[in-house]
Amino acid sequence: MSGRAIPSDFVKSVLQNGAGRYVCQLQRLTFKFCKSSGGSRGTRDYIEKHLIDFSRENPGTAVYIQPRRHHTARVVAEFLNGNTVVKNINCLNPDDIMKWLEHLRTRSGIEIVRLRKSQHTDSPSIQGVWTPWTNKDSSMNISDYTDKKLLEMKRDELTATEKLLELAKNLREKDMKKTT
Amino acid sequence: MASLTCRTNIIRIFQLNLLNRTPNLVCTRSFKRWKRPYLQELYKRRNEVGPEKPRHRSAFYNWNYDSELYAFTKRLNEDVSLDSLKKAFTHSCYIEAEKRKRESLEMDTDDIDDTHNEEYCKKGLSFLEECTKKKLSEFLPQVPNYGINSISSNLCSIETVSRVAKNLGFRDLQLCEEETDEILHDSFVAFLGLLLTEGSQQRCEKFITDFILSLLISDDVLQMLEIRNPHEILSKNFQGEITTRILFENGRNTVESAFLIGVYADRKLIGYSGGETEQIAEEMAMKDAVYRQIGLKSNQFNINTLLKSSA
Repeated sequence: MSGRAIPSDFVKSVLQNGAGRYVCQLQRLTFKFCKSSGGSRGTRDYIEKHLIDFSRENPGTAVYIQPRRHHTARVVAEFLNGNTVVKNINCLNPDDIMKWLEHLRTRSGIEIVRLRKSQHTDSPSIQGVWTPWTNKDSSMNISDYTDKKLLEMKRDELTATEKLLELAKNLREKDMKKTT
Repeated sequence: MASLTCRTNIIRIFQLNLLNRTPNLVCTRSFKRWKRPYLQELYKRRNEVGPEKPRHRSAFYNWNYDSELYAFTKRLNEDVSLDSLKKAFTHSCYIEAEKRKRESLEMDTDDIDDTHNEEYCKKGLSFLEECTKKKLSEFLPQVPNYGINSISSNLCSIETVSRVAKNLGFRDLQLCEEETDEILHDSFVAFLGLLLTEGSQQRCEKFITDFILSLLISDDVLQMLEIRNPHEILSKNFQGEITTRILFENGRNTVESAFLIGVYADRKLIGYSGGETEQIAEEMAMKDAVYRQIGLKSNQFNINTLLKSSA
């Protein structure tokens, strides 16, 4: 799969969360599990032992429990920005479930994608919009077409004549050294 | 291969039938040729019916309004009584719709609670405008009144406020007939009204700075600043005639033409800007001169002073 097909985005936050006050973005949790099957055992244990503590610590999150006969255990997280995340917690032990809930609790709800850069700004240019004259040499303001500097041809390499002249110069210098 | 196994199966069952005299049951294994047209038909019908109507969150099983309200107050860290919060979220259109619904079912309409959020709305709306204007003029003292008014009306506009309300969970909790941006705006404003009546003015101000004014971090202030007649503003503030001059130009009458136009007042350069035509560049240059005169540049201010002023 090419890089273009994989969704990517810049770092984002919901409503500058935390700039004013921090709002936990996880608004609703729904546990769906089976009362009898072995795959849901960890979930049942978690609900019995740790769920009350979790909701006491996070009163801003509404928690629902839905026993569903012979279904795989999963937790549905709804975020304030309207996104929903379904996490399969079948065959997980309470400790692992706790870790996944911590992951959901601290998320912003924005989809997890590849980040193009680790930083982002909404006003990237502090200098203003670029124009063809933005970084123009200010001496150009007072020069005109008769200026000899402007008439000079720009070259990356030395010309053959210049190379020969330099060679001759070097030879002459060597001769001078020998005679002294 | 498939056809072979299929045939043997049928023969076996036929023999069993002869011996046991059970009802004539023919079982075949084959490629399910009916399945593709069946799915195609289902797909076609789904497309004909169109997408499912968006349902309110309360239409689902896992919904407890009281605990949602409680979670809402705890989430935003605003202690208000749940009854008054319910009142702030109830729109008059919801009560009317409820009455109509009951009448159509020939039920009693007397026991419907008539309280709705109109009072809170009025209170909150006036305070929201007043508060943003006050805070902005404290924060941007150099910006004249017309600038403050246009920034605050942008921040208090229905689109902006409803965007904030949507991301704070107002959407699921409000009781209305049809969810629109106006209704979301009203719910937000009603919540402000509730904070004013139950809490204090200070608390309400804090709420507004935290959720409305903090938008200045990402939204462009210059975009919010509506300058209709820059020439008039400049001639009021500068002595001498306001003139414009082309400073540089490139590729006139081509696709990639560019102009840099400067604005002069009393022979002094007070602002300049580039553009692809002379008109655009002139307009932008005039605006640039006004921004410079006000001393406002795109998001070049420390928002923390604003956010912490009410902390």
